[in-house]
Amino acid sequence: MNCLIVDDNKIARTTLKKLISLDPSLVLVDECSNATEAYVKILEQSIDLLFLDIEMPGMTGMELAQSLGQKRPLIIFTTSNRDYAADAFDLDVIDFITKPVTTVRFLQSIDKAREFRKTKILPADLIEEDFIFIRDSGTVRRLQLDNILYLEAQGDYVKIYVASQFYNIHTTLKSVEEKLPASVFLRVHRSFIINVSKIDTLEGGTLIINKSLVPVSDAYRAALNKRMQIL
Amino acid sequence: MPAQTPYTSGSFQLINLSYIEQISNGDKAFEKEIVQIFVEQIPQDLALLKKHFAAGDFNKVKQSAHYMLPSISILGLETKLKAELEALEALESAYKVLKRHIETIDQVCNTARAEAIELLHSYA
Repeated sequence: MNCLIVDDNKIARTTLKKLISLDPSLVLVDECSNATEAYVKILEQSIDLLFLDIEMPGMTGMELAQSLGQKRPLIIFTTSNRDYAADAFDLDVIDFITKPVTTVRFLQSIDKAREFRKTKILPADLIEEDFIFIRDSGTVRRLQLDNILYLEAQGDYVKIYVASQFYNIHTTLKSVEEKLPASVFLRVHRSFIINVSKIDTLEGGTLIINKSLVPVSDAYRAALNKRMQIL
Repeated sequence: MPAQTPYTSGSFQLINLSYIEQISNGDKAFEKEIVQIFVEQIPQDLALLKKHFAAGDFNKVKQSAHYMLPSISILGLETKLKAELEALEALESAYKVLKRHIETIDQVCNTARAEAIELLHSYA
């Protein structure tokens, strides 16, 4: 992967340079001391992975990331402040590493970057919240994602199945799909989305989740297999 | 003086080399380079910090304090200066307290710099 370091502190850059040299699959293309310089470099060269400091004078790392558009490289933020996680929501952020960066933490984040390139699945524990809000006949209710077993489209409604009951909400499956973390919730059928961590068994073309049967259609079978990475 | 006196991590009062050694993995050239950058950079960082504080430019004080973190961490100083740097980033304490913090940071960094210079002598 072609890498670019962006940090206004020379010591931080030199440290990262050393860490990058530990991994033969990483190629350091350049280092920049500010975001504007980096912006130009990213446009001119093919950069796969950005090591980006957030708090820099002038354009911040976050502003740079937001200005890059669809073709942005993968981003690993090196910062001391996890509060920025919410701003990073849309940005294919692989990791937030706090300074001072340790070798172990660095290698972990590279692994995450590699994993993402293979599977296109963002690390689930990074920037996603673990709950959603649903409108359940007049009441707005918080649902922990971990309690959701699967979702089924029925006409103008989506049934959200939790342990011993379901909620009926007036929406489309597609719109719910967009709000759920893709690493955990997978579409397996035109009418079904499942919580991958709740799969009990998969037999033929049918999933069993908490004793309920959920069909898997041909169109989604490959994606499911890929996600499950069955041994 | 022998050409290549190996230093031991415990032989300095203030600076701690465990972070550098963890990153360098035995690469002495890297260690030397980074200690050199510290020696060169710290006086400038300190000067800016004090200048901004004297000018009452607290936004810049905050930025400076934040900027210095990787520099002081490289020699293991962050535990000694953690409270002070955090206070300067938060800017919630009284002026007098902040002033004292700046003085502490200045003192600690200067002592560390002296030790770092000594350390540089021990590299070939």
